[in-house]
Amino acid sequence: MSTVPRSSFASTIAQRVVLVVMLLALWWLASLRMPQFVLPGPLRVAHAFLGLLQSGTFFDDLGITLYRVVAGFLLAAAVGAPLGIALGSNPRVAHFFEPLLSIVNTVSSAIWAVFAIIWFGISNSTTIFVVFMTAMPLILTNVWQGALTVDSNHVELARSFRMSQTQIMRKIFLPTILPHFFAGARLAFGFGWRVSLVAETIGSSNGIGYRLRQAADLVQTDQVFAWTVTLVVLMLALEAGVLKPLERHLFRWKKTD
Amino acid sequence: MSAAISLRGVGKHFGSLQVLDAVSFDVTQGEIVALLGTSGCGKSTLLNMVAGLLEPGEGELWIDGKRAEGTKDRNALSYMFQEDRLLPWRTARANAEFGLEAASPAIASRDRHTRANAVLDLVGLQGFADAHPHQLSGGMRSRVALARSLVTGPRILLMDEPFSKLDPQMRTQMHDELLRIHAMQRMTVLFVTHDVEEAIVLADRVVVLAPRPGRVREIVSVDLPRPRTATDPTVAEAIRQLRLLI
Repeated sequence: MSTVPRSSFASTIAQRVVLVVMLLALWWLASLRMPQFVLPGPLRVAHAFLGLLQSGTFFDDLGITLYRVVAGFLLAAAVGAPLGIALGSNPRVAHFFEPLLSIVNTVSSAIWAVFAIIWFGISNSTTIFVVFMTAMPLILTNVWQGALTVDSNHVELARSFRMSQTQIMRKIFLPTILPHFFAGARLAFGFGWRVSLVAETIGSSNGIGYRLRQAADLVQTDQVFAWTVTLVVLMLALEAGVLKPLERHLFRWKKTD
Repeated sequence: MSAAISLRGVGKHFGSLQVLDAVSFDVTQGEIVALLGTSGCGKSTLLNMVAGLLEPGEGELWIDGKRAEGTKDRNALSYMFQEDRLLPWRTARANAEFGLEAASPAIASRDRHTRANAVLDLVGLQGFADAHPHQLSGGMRSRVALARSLVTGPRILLMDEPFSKLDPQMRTQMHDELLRIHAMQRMTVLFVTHDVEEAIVLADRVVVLAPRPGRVREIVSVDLPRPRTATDPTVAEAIRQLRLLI
């Protein structure tokens, strides 16, 4: 993982703070020379953010978007992981279906959004579908690659103890695949989160994406910025507060040097 | 008393290639027997057939006085591989417990825990139960692998060059360890090696195999007192004599 020694933890924090201050200063300086509707300054965006908090729909919008992303993501994991394992353990089937995956991967999320509108109209399903179609191939591919790294020596070991196929799956395959699944899931969640906004701007009547478009239509640039900052902070918090610690706990058995 | 392992005219083909031809020998209860031969003499194939990892070809295989059919019914057996094959995501204790997890009816997790701890103590790994494999040295990993093989309390222990990846000093240590545990538990040991010294130091009898196809060239009894050190003149002479046979 990181090559930074532990003693410099405080220094890392200090560097981060300096970076944030620098960015804010740059933003503020730039905003002085620009009209408000092109680049609102940090203070004005902070105001807009407080306005959003008081608008009453802020947490509803946040909640509904989060719900759609999580639902699409969970569906993607539920479908992608078993399919990945199936492909990983059947090379012939995998060889046959491989082109299908390439096709799905080349279709842009925006195209999925257009299809989703046609099929599901303005509804939760539209965003969920787009998140699913983006996240599922990522999870599938990672799990598939993970299944290919299963050590045949470990499988033979399990056989020498006369373990059943189910036990081999549970005790050898799943632990081997888990780090790959986790990497894929992280990637998929990040992508899903971003495309959910695209889907919401065109296929929804609430949620963050919808509010973003509304603010843009009304040239409320400060609100667009406020939403953006909210999203960035939320994702960073999720990464540092949940994903990183979880990963460190799950894969503490890995060499870290 | 019937033999622990008995092979009667065992042969094996891989396609048209004959790897084993009419191999016959017995291993009595509590005995340590080495299968010695150069590479390509089918010694690992033979061991895998006894272990039930490989379908037997021609001939008969008897284990504990019963005919062993196919690759089933090997509950009295434990197999130790050439590599330690520890699962990197498990601690030393959990790796040792692995041997108990296939048992039917299932063994309660607390009992598995207790037995794994006991067997880790037996191989001299007190205090390392919670370490992950990457934190252990090669010798310690080998001990965990031995613990995993012993945790089921096998009557027969099969080993496929289990210490060949260790440096010579560590290997000698593991030999002493194995003999110490054998003296306590009296399990039958059948192991494969290409190392003449290892065969003489460990075995009561050495089955020397000739290659292509694998067949028994000679069975040598090693009647030397233990512990045997390779530098001891009588042991060195036995090693020399055996080396002339292969």
